[in-house]
Amino acid sequence: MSLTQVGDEPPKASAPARLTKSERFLFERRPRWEGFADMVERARRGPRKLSRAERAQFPDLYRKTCADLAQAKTLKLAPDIIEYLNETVARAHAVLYAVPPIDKSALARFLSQDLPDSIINNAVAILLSAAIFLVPYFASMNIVGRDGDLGLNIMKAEDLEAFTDAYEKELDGRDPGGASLMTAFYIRNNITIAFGSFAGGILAGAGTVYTLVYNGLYLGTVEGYLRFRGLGGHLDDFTTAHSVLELSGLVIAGAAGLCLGWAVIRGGRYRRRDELRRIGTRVFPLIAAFFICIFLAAIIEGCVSPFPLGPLVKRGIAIGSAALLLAYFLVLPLYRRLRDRGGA
Amino acid sequence: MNNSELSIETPERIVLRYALADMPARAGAWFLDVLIQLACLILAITALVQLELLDGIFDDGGLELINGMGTAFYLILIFALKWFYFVFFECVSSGSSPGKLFVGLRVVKANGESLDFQAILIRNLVRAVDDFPVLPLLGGLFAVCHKQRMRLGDLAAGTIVVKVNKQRPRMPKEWEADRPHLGVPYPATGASPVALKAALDESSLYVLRNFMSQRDRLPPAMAEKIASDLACQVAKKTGLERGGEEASQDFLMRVYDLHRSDTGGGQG
Repeated sequence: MSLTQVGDEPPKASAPARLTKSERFLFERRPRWEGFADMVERARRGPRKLSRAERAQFPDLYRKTCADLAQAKTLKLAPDIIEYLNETVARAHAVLYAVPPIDKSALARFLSQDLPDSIINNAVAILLSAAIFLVPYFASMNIVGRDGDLGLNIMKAEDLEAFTDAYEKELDGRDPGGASLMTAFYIRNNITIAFGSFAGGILAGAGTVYTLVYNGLYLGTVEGYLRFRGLGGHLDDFTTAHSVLELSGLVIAGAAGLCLGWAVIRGGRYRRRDELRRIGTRVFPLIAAFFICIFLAAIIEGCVSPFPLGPLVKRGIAIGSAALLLAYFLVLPLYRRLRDRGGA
Repeated sequence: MNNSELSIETPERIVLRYALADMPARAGAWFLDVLIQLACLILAITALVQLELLDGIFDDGGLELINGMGTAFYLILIFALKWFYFVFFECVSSGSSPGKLFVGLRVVKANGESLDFQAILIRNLVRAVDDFPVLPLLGGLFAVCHKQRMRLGDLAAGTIVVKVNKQRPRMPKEWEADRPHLGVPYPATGASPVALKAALDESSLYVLRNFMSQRDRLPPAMAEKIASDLACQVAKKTGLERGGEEASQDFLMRVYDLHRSDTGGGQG
């Protein structure tokens, strides 16, 4: 499929001698366009629909058709020619510049660099998010812990009673079949909260700050109230194992939302839209980080926390998960930085 | 560029135009997607009830009436549909959820490239705000006001929804219908490129190339003068026939194209 095909054919006497520019342009290149358009339609259904030779030919034909489009525009040819070429090239563009499937090396680089680096790279956002969450958390816990009735200012009495009822008994593993149900419930509930906290960042960060403060107040009030009622031990027994991962996940989600909000507010040297796209690249590993944290936390919360395994096991899990987080998000990137500096 | 169009420049330095999706089309696509999600959910619940993994979910609405495994599955399904329905389909069919595919829409990056996973994830997580229950369809309102019809998720991910024709582009029928001669090869290109090359010596080709590349910069009258001289020479050397009233420049262009078609580039 190339230009020579047309020229090589013998002339036909019956054809008129004069053609307009559009006609000539159209006439000489049409077979190539049609052949290319056929390839594009097949390629849209998957690159395997093209033969090896066709795949090798594709970029060249694409460039030629691009050149034709540019030429057609320059020569101001008939609008329907330009329209046809634009459409063909646009469809080919979508195929040619499709996103390559995720390969092993990209995934490996993400897991060994982008993901662990994400926390240090966004340290300010992480610290800010932690502060926005932890200040209301500790404040409400201390205040309500001293005087339980103050908890009624923040939460409804029946909700607090429901929590009191739930923690009155020792942990007994609850009913069978409950572990999978509760795991599913925590995955859905907690990840939804975290996603919402991230998404709220687009409202100039307001949604994120609201989610962080609300959850800080809520958890602090419940904890304070239960301690006030003398049920702190039962509460710790349930929450210790998953607490580290869950709260880390929530704080990271908040940090991701704050980054988004900051991009909306500040804009910086870039147009707001470009700043958002730039920040999207930084935020993506954070999303992966909080998703993993909260997902693991939900599994622990559903499958380990409700069972009476004794404080040692649960503290072990909490410390173990904290150590893993520190190793992966702090020691690994710092170690690599030191090593790179030493090597340079 | 007007408001209903997106112009992007490709790495090949040509400008492609896309029609932006209008709001009725987007709303229609969204509605279809919601219907499909609901259908999946109803199908799954029916199957779970048939398998006796789930019962009484609508009786009291409470969790205690429900078998653990079935409900676990049900909760995960709701979760996955809400957050990953769009992510999944935009990944596998390069930017079109089933509803968008049906209506003929596609999501692209603002620079016209195909979506990557990062953009897909971000634009769909921000749906949490776009579908915000207190301000119904916040995203829709925002998109109506936005110049390029971006909702907040599009803004966060740097994506734009454009129209795609479901049918492949057709050559307009009239290209052939009332010009039957377009169906046959162009008459005066009888000489093959190879023969042409043999007939035109290197210096003539050099002059021809120079003229073709610079004629736009010459004053029209001068260009015409040079063209007519050059056309005479070329016609004599190659034996190519000139159409009776064919302008010299058109003739030269034809020869030049023919020549280039042999040298492989076809562009330049």
